[in-house]
Amino acid sequence: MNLNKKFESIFPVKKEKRTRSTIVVLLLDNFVWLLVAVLLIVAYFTTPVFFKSSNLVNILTQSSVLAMLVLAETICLISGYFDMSIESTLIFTSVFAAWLMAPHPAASGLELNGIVGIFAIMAAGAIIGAVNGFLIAYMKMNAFIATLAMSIFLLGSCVTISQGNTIGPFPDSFAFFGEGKIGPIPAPIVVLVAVYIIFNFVLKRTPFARKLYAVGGNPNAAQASGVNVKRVVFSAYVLSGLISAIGGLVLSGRMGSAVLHMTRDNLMYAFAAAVIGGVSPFGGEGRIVSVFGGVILLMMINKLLIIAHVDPFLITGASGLIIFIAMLILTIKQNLILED
Amino acid sequence: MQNTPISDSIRTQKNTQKFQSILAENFVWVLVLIVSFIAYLITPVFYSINNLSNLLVTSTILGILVLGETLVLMTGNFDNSLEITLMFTAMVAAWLTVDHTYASGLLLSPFWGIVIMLGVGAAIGAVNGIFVGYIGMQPFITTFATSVVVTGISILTTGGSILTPYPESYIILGRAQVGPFPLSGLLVIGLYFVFHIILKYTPLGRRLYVVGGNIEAAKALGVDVKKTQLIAFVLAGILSAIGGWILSGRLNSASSQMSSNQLLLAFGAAVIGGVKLGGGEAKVSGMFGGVLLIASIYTLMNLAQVDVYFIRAMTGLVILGAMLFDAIRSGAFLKARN
Amino acid sequence: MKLHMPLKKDQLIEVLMQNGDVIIHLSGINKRFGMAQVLSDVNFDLRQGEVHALVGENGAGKTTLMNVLYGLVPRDSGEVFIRGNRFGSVTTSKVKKAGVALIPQKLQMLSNLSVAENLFINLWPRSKKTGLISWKQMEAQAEKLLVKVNLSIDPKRKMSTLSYVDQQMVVITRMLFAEKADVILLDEPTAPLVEREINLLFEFIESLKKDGYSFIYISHFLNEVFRICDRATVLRDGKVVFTRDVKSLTMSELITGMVGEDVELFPKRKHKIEEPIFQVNNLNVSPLIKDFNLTLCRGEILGIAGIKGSGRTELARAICGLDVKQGGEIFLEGNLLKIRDVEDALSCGVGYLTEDRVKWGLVGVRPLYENATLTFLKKITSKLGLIKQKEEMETVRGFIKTYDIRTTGPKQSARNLSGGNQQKVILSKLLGADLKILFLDDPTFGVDVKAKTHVYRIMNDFVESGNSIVLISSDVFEMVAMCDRIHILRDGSVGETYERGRITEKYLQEVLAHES
Repeated sequence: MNLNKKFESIFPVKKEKRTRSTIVVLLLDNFVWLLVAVLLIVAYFTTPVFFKSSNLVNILTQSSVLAMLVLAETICLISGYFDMSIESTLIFTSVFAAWLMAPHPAASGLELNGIVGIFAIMAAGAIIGAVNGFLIAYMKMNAFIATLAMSIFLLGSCVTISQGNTIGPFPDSFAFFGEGKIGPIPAPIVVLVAVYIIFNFVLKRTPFARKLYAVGGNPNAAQASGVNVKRVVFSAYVLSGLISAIGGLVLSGRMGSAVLHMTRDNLMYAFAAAVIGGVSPFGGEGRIVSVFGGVILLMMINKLLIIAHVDPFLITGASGLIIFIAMLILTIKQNLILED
Repeated sequence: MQNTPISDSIRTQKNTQKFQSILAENFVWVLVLIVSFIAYLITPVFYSINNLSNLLVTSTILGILVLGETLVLMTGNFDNSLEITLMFTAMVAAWLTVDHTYASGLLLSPFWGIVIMLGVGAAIGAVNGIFVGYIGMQPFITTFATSVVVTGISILTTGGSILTPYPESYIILGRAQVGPFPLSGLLVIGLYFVFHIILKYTPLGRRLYVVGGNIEAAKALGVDVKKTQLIAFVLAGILSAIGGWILSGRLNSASSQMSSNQLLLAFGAAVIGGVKLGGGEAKVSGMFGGVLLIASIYTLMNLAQVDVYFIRAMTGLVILGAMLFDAIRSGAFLKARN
Repeated sequence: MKLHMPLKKDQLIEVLMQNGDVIIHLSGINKRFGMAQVLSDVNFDLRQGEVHALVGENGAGKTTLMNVLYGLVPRDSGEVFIRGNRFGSVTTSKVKKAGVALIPQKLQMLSNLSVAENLFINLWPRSKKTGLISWKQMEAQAEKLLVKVNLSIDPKRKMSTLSYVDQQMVVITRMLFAEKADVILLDEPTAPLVEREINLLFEFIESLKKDGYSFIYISHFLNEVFRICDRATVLRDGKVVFTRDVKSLTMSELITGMVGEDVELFPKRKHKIEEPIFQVNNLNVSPLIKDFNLTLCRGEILGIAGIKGSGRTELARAICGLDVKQGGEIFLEGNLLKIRDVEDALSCGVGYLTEDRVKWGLVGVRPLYENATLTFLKKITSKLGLIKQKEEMETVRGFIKTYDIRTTGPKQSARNLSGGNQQKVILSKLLGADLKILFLDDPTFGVDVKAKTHVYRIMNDFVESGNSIVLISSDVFEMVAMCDRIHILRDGSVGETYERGRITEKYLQEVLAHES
């Protein structure tokens, strides 16, 4: 390591006053929306069918589940950790809910009503998050492995519970979240927007959020400032589980029954959207509005490519590449800073 | 200059300390003994030649994955892409040698198919190794991204179809028997032996330990840490390719659905077998024990007719257990207790 | 060796080098980091078979000079000669090839591998028959080496089972014999050692010296200079004060050289010391602090003097909740404090300014205002649980004004601030938390003179308002000027105590030097 830079931070350096025009700063911070705008223009000229209102509504509705996953992962990333189990939590909570509520021979027979079911799902998500958080924050386990192992456990449990059956249908009050409408707007979109608005607010105005960012940015400095680092990380995972469960809620509603088959792509997509939305994989940075932009962007690209009859599996590979390139750029930037 | 010798420490460790450390290092065999005993109680059929042979078959792929993953873990990294590499290289071989609509139509001889297959495995490993070792990317994300990209490519080129059948000579490795035992199993055992030699008696092997143990010291002592990490990934890739050869031979087909989700299990086996997650410690005998343990548990549960899905769920628990074990062993537990 | 004047200095050196006497010659070395001139026109040379001490206070430039020599930091100007060869660009590998090896405090060794292997990493002996590594040969050669340097250590043992001094000696042995170095740079080798171990190390060095190896010895422990070194070079503020034979040097001269006649700007304050307010009893922090006691009065600045590594940081960290203590009680205004973590400490009114600003001080990626309020979020949170943004900004702007923090605004990223200003932000963060007791660890390290005065003024204001400070510092001027009392840390607890006015800077440095 070049010690030059290490000493720079100790000895006083005269920094030139950065005279960046505010417009440039604004552009860079909201880069993702720029991309969205570009994409919209491209779409207008190449595939005008894209702009049918039904199509746009469709996109938003379909993004709702993914958007939950992205939000869940974002909270975790800001604290400086990774959650690989968000997708499995999504599926598990859906199966679990079905098991509790559906009048199906393979279900529990409890046939709980929709409202109870909603609480049960949330609780399940929070508990899963709590276990993850405990193992990672208090037992100091490697976050990747612990959450991956958890996800395998959850998926296995799903299959065990359902025995391969598609359990359904859900009671109406529950399915409302996936299928219903509030006024002219589909319920999933309302849920999506509501949750995002709530968390945007939370991340900007609460002390917890401050501690979250601090822990992600420099856990030592956070600790030295009186932040209970372990508790913050634990909470991040609980929130992640909870939000994934909300996604499970929306998913169940939309599918009408518990769905088992989801590929691992969603995890990739979630990461990609978060990273494009400005969340640093190293922790300590990320804004909800930009993340939302990342979700929109990704879904738009997805839809455009489907309309253009591009093989969907190519998209999978592409999202992997996106994350990779984003991390590559960040890593190189970090290395350059260190080497001056 | 014959002064009295200088030293502060006692010359050799006490014998009890030595015994304790040997026990701790070979803990996996204790577990194997326990499981073997339980197996005997539950169903003596476990010890039939037939079953033992089955055990070997089950362990083969797991064994290769464990070996490859261990090499990478030893250097302080993690490889997410081994199973996908296994699948992909098998598909490459199929694509080159099989007569199928989705194949290339090149119909190369199996020899070339295998050579190129190994080359592709090495190439994937090289990509991983360059990004992690030379550019400094996070190993988890990098290998995850690699696996996703490779999956995408494989699905793209074959559209998810199953390529079959392979040429006769190709499937020999996957299917042949030597007496009651599968050839592939014996090959893997052989590979373990070879790597034991490499790790203990070659500079390359020792460098793996050094880089994993203390990368700063390694650099200061003149070891090319970047190259060593690269080599670890490349070797893991080649081993995965061998695994692909074995599995596709056994199934006599290749498709993008081939993977059996064993990578995490392999990781668990490696950890139980003694690999330190931060790198720098590994015993081939331990790996062997780990594979044996996991495979035994799996076979036992099958014999006892435990629900297949339940086994899957248990897998996750096993991994968590392995990690807990590693965390406790390295004292993280004590630090966490602070 | 007298030579005629017409010979220029460089020519003189060349002659000496060609005679095989001077192995390393540095002349006119300059190095600047940002605004600070860390090395000015430094000349230094090392003769064969000598142990040459490099001495100076923290920040005097010793480590930087060694880093320049070893290729870790590029010099701005000046010449580097090793064995008569001029090194234009200095890289570590070139320097190593030339036979120079650095032994840093954090030993570069593989603790999980054996002693024998550590001696031969990257140079493993091979069997002639198979070409594979021969462990037998390695262990035999290791044994021979260890015998040669008179070390009685079993080569088959794991490095981690050895004591630190044995590990040191093994690492030195590797450098000398496996890597064929004959110049060893030792950076504070005795800081973590006890007397018995230091004796071992010195015996080791003496015997190597007789065999012709040379050492550059960086240390704070001045008495060691007299024990084992032949010559000593004193650095102060980046300049060489003198280079002299140790035989003709007295401790007093050495200290004067280090400490100089500097005039620091210390603002005056009214010394009004009232009743005892803070008490620490029987503090134990493994491994260094044992039965430490402290009583602090209202309005007092108490200094704790000890070298880095004496446990001075550890005791502060433990008292203030950053680390766990193994025993001891803390009382504030008569009440027993239960401090399990920093949050507890802060709510009791006890705060700590950390030693390593980069690592423990600020969250670089976040803006200034978020950093400055992190310790007292409760104060600016409304009943509904939301942060009062207006109040927050006002408070932070207040900090910027009061402490003269040079910044483009509260929203500037913390990492873009200069060192001195970062320190001020950290201080504001602590002072904003309504503390009664403040522990400061090397608060002005790496801070420019103007900012230093500011910090001293802040300290004065703090104690004049009826609070108290515990000051931990390597800067003897700071200690003598600011403290009302100074405790000397010895063997993990308080040794002597000096009242204000009863100790001079020189004497304090001397007292610290006899610390061992």
